[in-house]
Amino acid sequence: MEESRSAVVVEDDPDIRFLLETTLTQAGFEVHASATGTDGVELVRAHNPLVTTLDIALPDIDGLEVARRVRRFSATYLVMLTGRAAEIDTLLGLDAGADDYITKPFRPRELRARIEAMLRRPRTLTGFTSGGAVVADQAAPTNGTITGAPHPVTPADALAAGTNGNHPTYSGAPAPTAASPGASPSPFSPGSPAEPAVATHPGAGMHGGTAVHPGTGPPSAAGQPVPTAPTGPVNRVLSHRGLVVDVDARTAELDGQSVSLTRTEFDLLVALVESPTRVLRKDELVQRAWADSYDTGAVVSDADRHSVEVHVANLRRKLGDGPGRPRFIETVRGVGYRLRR
Amino acid sequence: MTAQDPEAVLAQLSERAARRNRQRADRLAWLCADLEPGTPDEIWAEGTELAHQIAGSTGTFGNMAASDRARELLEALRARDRAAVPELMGALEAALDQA
Repeated sequence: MEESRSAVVVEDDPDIRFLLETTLTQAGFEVHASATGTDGVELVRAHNPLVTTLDIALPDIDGLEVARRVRRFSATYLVMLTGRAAEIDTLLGLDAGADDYITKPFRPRELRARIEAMLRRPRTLTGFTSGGAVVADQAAPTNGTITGAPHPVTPADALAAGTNGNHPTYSGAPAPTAASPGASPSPFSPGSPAEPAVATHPGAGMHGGTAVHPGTGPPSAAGQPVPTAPTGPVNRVLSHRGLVVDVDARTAELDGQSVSLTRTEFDLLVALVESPTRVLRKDELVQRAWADSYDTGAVVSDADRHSVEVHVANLRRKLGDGPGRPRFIETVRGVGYRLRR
Repeated sequence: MTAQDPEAVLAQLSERAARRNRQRADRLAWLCADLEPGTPDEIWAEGTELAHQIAGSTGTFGNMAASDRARELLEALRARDRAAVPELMGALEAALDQA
């Protein structure tokens, strides 16, 4: 199925466009390219690509508008390429529905590694059909429709589902993450040997401490985990100060409300909540967020560190963290970030 | 498209982009040579577009100094800061030559 996957490149500079075409072709994609935003939207509509790369500055409509239009009908993995490192551009780009962004200059191998890594990571799918129409969530997959939780779905799963290599449906990284379906009170076993290296403070309630629940549901309204007997496969659930993160379902709730996180934001959040007692350096978070890229020994760049800063800024905004006294994520100047206890 | 080493392709494209950016800079320098209070909007617009193209392309292909100079020039053109343009244009050309 590898050979059937397609990509759309939207880039007005002919040299950069050709570079992207070449890189993606060599990565096994059938590539369709456009020099304008409006043509790019139509290419996405026509080919339903697995991946779309999008320049921010285009001659007709800008890349952010292209992303918004594409997101109305397509589940394509959207990668924004920008020479502008200014945070506002990135924030706007991510809000427009980008799955990732890469700042220029980029090396072909870096681009390819980033895209391949992105495609290997789980993604909750629901809400679109291969023809582009929005559909309602369904309890079980049907031909051309893959629903999300409880099992994260990767593009490889989508390929296996007979979707011709392109995304059939999705609720995507920028789309809201649904609450755990059928959530029920979870078993609670602090200090379980199977748990990650997380300090557990079952008595800390909403005012501190991180609890690990190898179950499927949030804690009680008082912020206390609710022990119940496990039934069947259980998800790993982390909680901290009213924040409940279901690692396996890739969902997050804050004070009982679902929080919409991108994949990268979610991965960074899990990294922080899993390590509540230590500072996480930006390089660590880069490697955590884009692990596959760095498995090959790639060097963490300033652009990557900046990317982490932007994703953390987005994460803070979504968690309601203010700059003065954040509830969750503290900056350790010159080092990185840590979870507030 | 034949299978080639992506880095080799990058090198070829970098050379092509450098030539194209030099041509863009030549045109931009010509446009910037006679900026006056009554310079038509189309001239400012073309100059702005060229500076934008140079900034993006040089940045992508690794000439960050040229990209930075092009962005500075881009801002001056957007602001119609005629006094700043000649020096910034010179700095851009120097950065392109050093690549």
